[in-house]
Amino acid sequence: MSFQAKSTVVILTALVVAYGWYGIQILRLVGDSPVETVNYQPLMLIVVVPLVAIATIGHIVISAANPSEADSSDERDREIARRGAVIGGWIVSIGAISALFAAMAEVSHFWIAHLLLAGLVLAELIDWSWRLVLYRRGV
Amino acid sequence: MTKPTKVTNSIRQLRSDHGDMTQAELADRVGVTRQTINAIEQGKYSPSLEVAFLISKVFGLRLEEVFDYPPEL
Repeated sequence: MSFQAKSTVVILTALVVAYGWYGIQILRLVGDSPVETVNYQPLMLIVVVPLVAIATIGHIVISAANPSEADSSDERDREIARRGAVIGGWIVSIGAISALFAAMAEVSHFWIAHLLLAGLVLAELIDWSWRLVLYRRGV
Repeated sequence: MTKPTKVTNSIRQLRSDHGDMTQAELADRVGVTRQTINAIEQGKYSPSLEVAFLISKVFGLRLEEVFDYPPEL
């Protein structure tokens, strides 16, 4: 597995752990009180900390395991990244348009923020998952 | 599973004929990762024209002596 393929696994893990934790916390809060009163903003900002921490530690570990390959990439990695980003871009757009319609319908800020977040997180998950598939299947 | 590319190549055989050159050695000379050479050999990646020329040059052969494409049926 190349450095960039390992990096893809690290980033996917960080996304799943951080936003999985966020999802559980939000579901707990929504279960306890109406969404209009849920104080989601601190959680939405704090979730970036475990995300960055896991990604950073993961990259240090895979770099230390094989220093000669650390951060190496070539044309195949760039092509795989490009194809992943194309799919991710579509998902972000769908999330943004959904949030736009939610705003026009004067839906609660909670849902608008979470439609945007869902679009961003899903885009990243699908982007990096697709890259992993391409590394395994071929381009 | 069908391979992502129809381009075939004889890199594995050529490495063997050139003193059992490793994938890593070839990768270093071409400027790609070892995994990319492996993916090309397995038909999982079709290299750019530039990388294909560089690989051919390492073996001192013309492009079509290293890479092939099946004729249309």
